[in-house]
Amino acid sequence: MEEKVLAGERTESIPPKEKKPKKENKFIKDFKQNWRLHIIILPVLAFFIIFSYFPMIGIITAFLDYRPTRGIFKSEWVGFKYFGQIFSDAQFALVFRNTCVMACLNLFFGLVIPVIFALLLSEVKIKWLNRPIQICSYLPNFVAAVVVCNIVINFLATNGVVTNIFVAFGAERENILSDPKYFWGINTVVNLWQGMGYAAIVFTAAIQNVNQDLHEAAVLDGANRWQRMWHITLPGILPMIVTMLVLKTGLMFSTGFDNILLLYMPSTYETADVISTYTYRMSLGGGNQYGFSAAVGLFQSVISTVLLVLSNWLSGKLAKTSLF
Amino acid sequence: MKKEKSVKISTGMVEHPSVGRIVFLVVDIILLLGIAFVCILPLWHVIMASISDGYALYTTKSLLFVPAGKISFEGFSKVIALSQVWKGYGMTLVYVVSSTVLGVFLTMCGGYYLSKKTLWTKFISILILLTMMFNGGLVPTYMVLRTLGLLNTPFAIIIPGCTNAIYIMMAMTAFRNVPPSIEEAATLDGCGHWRMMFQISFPMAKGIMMVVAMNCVVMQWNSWFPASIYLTTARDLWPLQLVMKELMNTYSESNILKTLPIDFDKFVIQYVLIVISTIPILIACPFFQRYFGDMTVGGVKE
Amino acid sequence: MKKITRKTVALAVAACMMVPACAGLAACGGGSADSFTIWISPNSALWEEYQDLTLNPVIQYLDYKFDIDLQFQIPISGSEKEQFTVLTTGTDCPDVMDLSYYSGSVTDLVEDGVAVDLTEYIYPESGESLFPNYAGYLDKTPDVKSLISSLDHKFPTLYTIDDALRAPWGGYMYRKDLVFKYKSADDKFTLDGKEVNPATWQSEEDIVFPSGAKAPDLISDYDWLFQVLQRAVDAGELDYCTSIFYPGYLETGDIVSAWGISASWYKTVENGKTVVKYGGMSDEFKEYIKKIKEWYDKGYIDKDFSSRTNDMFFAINSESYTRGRTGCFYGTDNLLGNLLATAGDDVDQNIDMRAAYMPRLSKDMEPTVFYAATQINRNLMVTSSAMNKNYEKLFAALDYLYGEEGSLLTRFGLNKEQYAELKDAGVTNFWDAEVNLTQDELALAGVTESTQKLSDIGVYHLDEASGKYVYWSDIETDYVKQGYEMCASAMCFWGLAGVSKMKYMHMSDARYEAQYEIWTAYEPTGNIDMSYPAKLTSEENSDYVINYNSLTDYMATEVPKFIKGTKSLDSDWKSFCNSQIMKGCNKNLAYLQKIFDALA
Repeated sequence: MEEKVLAGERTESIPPKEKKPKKENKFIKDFKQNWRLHIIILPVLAFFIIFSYFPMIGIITAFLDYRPTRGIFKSEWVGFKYFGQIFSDAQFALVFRNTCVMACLNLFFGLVIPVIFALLLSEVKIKWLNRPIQICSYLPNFVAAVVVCNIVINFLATNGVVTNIFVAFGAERENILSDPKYFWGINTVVNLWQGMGYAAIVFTAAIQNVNQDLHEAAVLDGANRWQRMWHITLPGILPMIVTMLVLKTGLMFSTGFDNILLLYMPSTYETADVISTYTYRMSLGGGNQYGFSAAVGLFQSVISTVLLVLSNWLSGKLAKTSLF
Repeated sequence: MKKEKSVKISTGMVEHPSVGRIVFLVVDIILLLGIAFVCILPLWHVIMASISDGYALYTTKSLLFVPAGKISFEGFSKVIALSQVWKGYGMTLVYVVSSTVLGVFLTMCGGYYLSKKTLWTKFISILILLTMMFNGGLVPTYMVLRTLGLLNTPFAIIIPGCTNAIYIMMAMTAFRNVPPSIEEAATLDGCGHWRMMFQISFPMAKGIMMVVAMNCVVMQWNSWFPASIYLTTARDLWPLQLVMKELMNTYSESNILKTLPIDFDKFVIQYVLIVISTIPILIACPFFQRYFGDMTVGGVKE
Repeated sequence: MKKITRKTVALAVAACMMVPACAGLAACGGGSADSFTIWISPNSALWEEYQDLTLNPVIQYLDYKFDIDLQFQIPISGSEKEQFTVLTTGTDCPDVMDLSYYSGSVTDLVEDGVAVDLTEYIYPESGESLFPNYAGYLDKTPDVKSLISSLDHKFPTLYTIDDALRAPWGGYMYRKDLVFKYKSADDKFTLDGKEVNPATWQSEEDIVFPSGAKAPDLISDYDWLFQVLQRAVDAGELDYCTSIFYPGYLETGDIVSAWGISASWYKTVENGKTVVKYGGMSDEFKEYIKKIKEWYDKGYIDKDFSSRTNDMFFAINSESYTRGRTGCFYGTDNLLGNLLATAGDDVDQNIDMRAAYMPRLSKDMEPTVFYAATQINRNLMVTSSAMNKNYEKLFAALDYLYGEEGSLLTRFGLNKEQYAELKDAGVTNFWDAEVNLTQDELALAGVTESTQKLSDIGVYHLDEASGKYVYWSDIETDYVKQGYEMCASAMCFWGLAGVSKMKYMHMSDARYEAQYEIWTAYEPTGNIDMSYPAKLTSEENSDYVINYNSLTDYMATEVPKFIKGTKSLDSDWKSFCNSQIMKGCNKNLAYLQKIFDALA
């Protein structure tokens, strides 16, 4: 009976073993039999334990009256004081709402648009067109956020290029960036502008990795472009889409807000203020904000983890592929 | 007979395009060109600004399609003459190569391992994913590095950020896509896990792994904050972005405005710095792109 | 992967690992008992002359005179606060650290053993003070002493002090040439019983404002000024008459002070006691907003003012004012006169920017709350890691800078004798920096290449006869002939501890003397400097800062609404005041009052 997991196997083709009384034995037995495989993960584990898990002890500062100069052990335990401060702040509900809305917009468009772009790009098989277009598309990712935001500010000024277009469509002439109702859209578009090309790279690579034999077989069966895209390409890159979706869900509260700091202003605070910018402004010039910012970070981490697990489970149920 | 234009789908297959197909292609290309144009704008603006005349640049806040005022290479000549810029280039190159190699290796190990279903897989993936969600903060990480004695050495930059959960998950997806038939065939030939990983699976998943490698390169190229905290005394070890940041501060707008008389040439320098620190990575990226579509098919009869 | 490529990659990895290892080894260094590290953030373009501060001759002289070795660590802009945080967690932090980026309470640092409380060395219970110059200077200047002492009358840190308020680097200015160009008979007014008709003015020097002053003085003068400048706007020569800072007011109190108050906290002296007041809810503030609203409705004020959040208060909408298209604004002194006109090559305008007085309501009051620099600049702490070394030497070196000799040293560099002494001692690399002189000036000094070393030109030295520091050279340059006192910036090193001689500091142009007089017409006695809230305890400071940020945030959003008319000054004022109270304006008032009571 072959119980060893060979390099070539990935599915559970291990024949059933006899039932063992203790549960640990199953894991230890697995380890003993597949130790050659398990060795491979050791350097990775060491890396994460040293550089991610040891520092994670610092999370406990969310519950302490912490000062870096004092150290963790000499700081007083304050329990959920900071969390109480967070939730009792009158602005918090508004800020949290803004964070959620913009995170969802970023997540949705940040996944859908790059995939569509990658699909459209892969349809153009002319190499001398395809390559330069892709290169141009990810260029904005490398230009500093400050420059991009300066351009945006300029475009949306009272006499800016984009404002003129809006006025031509009947809107009133004003500085679009100072109007709170447009901010969500602006932030999504700017993030897309910067990130679409770069995010699409992964999907382009995945599309090219799809087995060409399947395409050939489909054409022989009489499938047209759209049917091929729907039935072969998309399912082919579905694992990658799911991976990126689950990962991005986990990160949605921590990324995509750098541009906000550069683009927002007091008149747009009601829609533009997010957790990170609000806490930044409130702690400007402040001294001992370490415990408080650790608490905010912990709050965001917990929510993100819940969402991560949720999206993984959902994608397992709906798309039959999941990350873990 | 009318010669019909044919489009190659893959080796050995041709398709005769219909009118609808051509219309779609034309619209598609126009749309993509529009997107490419919009996307190249910021970089073009920066490049034009870096060769502009200082005063003209300062007074025209709009998007530049051509250099503002008369073309001047003053900024470039000033910055290129600084020795620390070249030192920064050198160190960044070292960091990028070392970190990417280490990062790709670790990512590969992680991705390969997680693509096999063992009893431990789920547990380890959760372990790794949690590192992405929870962060201890600046001070604890600093203390870990200090205890390890890595402060003010290049290893403080190369090791901590070389890989992360996202890359490993991407690699896992890539390895999962490798057709099992190939791996089975290799096992029958007596291949162990390490050889399998390097010689069989990695080439098959090269597309995604190259994306991971490119991400590592870009991330390492752009990073300056870890260096500013971990390399406080070792100025010779500073990467390019940190050197640029220091220079940017010297030539910042408020500093320039306060001197007498205002030297407008200094405004150009900010853009020169951006160009100098961005262009190399832009040249490197298409180089990676070549590998994205690299696929070796065959070797197994269905 | 082919075997060859694999081997190459392996070799490459090995090579890349070796290089950093070697580099890392090279970067290691030791520290002796006489070697001190100073962590300090750069404070101006003057520092860019020396990438490595140990090459600055002032530092080399200090090393030589006190037999120490000063090293410097300079944090990168953008990560100073983080660097400060991580460096202070260890036991091997730099010996002297700049507290500019630390916003917590100093008592915390002393409590945690990071900072050494220097009070016992400055004012020892018994024995000699290790800081005689510093203690002496503080005793001579009780104002400065009270500014820097803690609430319990201690002096835990060293401050960098200016011996006088420095010449203002900015203030309100307006385009006088446009006033002259667009004057008309419609602007006539009565002055001292006589009628003044602007149409009769022959030149800019004839211009007189309705209050009688030569520059805008009263609020009514500004009304008149904007009336004239509006014609320039209508003619297309200006974008708008004036700009205001995005919150609608300046926190430091400028313009609001015309009504005798400030929009935030300020102090007055009543019956010999310092009383702290808060102006954000007062009727005077309401009047201020009414006035600004009036100007806004008339179109005098930049319609987009509330969206310019990234601009500094002295540089609002640089695209406009650098081309001379803002009529009146708070600007820097390097825009005075017609400097703007000569900035670009093809700009051919006659721009004359002149200073304007801080506005006031009437002649019988003076504004007291507005922006002004204070005499104290930088706060330095000595850390506990210095106490393991020969700290007396360090203290002696830092204290030297507070004496007469030391402050002249940092202002002007070395004099002839000191240069000779050091040269004999074998010091060679003094003069690597370029000099701030033009081609013509260098030619006059007998130097033919613009990058010639200073050693050929000379430095400042104390001229016994005049008692002034003069540019030491056998040839008098044009600059010296005109009486300008310029310093070769490569030489000076102000910013470390010490007293800076303000009289020689500002590279002032004689043209601006008159303008500076206008800008220094009043004294900012109502200002509460940032160093005061820092004297609170850690908890109180946190509370103060949270209230402060929350309140300024709120005001920045609400005041523009009143100005633009989205909210009404009659019906919405009450809730505006209530919100301010809820955000803690009175709590902070109590904190500040407590500070002044304790210091009295």
